[in-house]
Amino acid sequence: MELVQAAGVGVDLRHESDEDLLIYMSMREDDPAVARAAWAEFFQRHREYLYRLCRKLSKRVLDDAGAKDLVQDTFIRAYHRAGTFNGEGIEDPDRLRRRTRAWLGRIAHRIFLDMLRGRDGLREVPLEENDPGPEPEPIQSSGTSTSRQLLNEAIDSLSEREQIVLRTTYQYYEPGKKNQHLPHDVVEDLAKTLQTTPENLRQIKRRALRKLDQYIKSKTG
Amino acid sequence: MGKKPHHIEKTSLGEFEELEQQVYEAFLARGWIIPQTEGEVSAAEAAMSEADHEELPPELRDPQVVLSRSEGRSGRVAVLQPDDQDTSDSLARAARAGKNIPPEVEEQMRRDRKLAEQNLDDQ
Repeated sequence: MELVQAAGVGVDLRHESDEDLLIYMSMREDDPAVARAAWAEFFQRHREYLYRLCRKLSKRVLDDAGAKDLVQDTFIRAYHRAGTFNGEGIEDPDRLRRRTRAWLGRIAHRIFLDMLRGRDGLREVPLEENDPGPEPEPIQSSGTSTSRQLLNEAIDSLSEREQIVLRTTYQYYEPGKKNQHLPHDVVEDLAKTLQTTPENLRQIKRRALRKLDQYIKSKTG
Repeated sequence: MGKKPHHIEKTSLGEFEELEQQVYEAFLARGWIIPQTEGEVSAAEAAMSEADHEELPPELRDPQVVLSRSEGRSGRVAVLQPDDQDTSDSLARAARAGKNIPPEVEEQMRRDRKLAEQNLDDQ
């Protein structure tokens, strides 16, 4: 039987659920060896999924090294924040995997935002900021496949400047929330990058959305 | 322009509310935003084809190396979740003995975690 040897512990954790692995990790101060073995198993289960996501993300925003850093920092933070995972009441292994990956995704997203703001992914932060937070409410997918196709064409037709503004803005978008906000330092950084003013960024976003809207309307009559 | 009181900038454009939702979904589908809900993960997993397969870089192949890196930086991760000591001891003992964790201990652990999360939410 192949054991989790990477962590130097003769414990077979391959059949443990993600939730149990995270429980072991949260117990790291009591039993570091088992926590490390649990982390090694957890890492091997999900690293490829996260790496593929980060590579896709990185093609336009992060370089290769940035993608690797994002994956590593996400798993490191997951190790230290394992106690915040909540898989309560989920028996179905597929659903538990999705819940786990959504939790990892929220950790990765926060680190990614820090990277975008030029901060180290593992800087010390207040608890409420470091916590990956509860899963957002599920949303109904909007639009048909035709309208999605048109929207993709419209997005491709935007200028690079407009795409950058939208891409940055939507990193902070919260589905279903009435009033969306962007941190002030992000606005200032973006304005500096694009050599414009914060007021103009709002106008660029409005113009970009109007272009998308008009493109779709022009194609659908 | 002076800073806003809470260092945030309102970005909602009410006239495009529905379109904004669609743009968000389009960005998710393009892989420009990391999936953060079960539904989003499900869609991302379905969209991952074998053709997209990429070899893992050497830095991500050996868990031991990655974790060592973590330990070298562990002093910088200042926020740790306090756990109930009795529950922690039981779980650690069970883990050391290679036994399954007793259901009542697991249940207690989950209750404690939930309570801790609620406390965080209340802060």
